[in-house]
Amino acid sequence: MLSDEQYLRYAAQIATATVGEHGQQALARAQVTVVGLGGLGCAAAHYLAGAGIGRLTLLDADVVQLSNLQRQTLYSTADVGHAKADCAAKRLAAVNPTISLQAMQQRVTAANVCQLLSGSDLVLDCTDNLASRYLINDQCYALGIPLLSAAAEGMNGQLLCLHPQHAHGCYQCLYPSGVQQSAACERVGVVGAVVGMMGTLQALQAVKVLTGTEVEWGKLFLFDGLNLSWQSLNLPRSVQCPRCGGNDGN
Amino acid sequence: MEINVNGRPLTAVADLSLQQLLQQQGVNGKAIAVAINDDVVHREQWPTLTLQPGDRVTLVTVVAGG
Ligand SMILES: [Zn+2]
Repeated sequence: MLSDEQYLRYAAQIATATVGEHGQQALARAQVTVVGLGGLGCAAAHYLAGAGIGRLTLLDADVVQLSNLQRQTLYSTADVGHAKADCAAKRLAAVNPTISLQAMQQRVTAANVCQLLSGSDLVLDCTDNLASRYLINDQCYALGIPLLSAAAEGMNGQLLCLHPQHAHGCYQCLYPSGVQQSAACERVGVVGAVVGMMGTLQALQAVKVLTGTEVEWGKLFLFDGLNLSWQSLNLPRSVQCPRCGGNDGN
Repeated sequence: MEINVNGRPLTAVADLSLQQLLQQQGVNGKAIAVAINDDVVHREQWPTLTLQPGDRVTLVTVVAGG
């Protein structure tokens, strides 16, 4: 049962056919982990907190820097030098004090990733490096947790929706170990609205997944912010993939 | 034969493999994923996959920023 306050707070999304009352209850029961609180994570976590995700776990080892404020919308100038996890949790608790927020100033490592992601209904990969992305993909497949992985650079965004119980490829199938980023992130740069849009899309997909709405798994969505165009690609499973390969691979 | 690479038309010789196309185009294969007609093609298949007339090739830059 939803409380009177919940009916008021979430009235706009309860009114939609996608969420409704049952969907709202499902969101309240959900546990979602957001790994990385940069441009993607700020946008995604803000919408998820607002939407009433019951338990939201936020992970980031970094502190806020002045150069983050162009795109990382949960932080203010006064937050510079403070832990992103703490600042984000404080801001989100102000947005929605009725949800449970757990913020940890942690980087995912091979040693801690299992413990950090266990118990999640859904994981959002909002990190900024390939090493973390491989770790998160591996652990989500090991634990059977669906994964919404987004990335952005320059004017381009990518969103990959992965479900270990479906027979499509995984992050490692798309970008096998040994691939290289074309250039360092700092030099390529990113337009704030592009990375914010990709994080927003992670939140949108999360709400759909958690409310039982059908989403297209195993798709890579490519956004071109210059021409405002989209392309979606199918990601089949690779038999050579050390993570998901084998059954149904090609 | 006529193919299309990232939205641009390209005239290519017949029986060209995907691997050969990437070499011709000077593409760093380590920094991309590739799709043909909207299906990602795994890199172990690049040498043996022969392009067909009308194929749409999409080169996807590795993006990991966040
Ligand atoms: Zn795989």
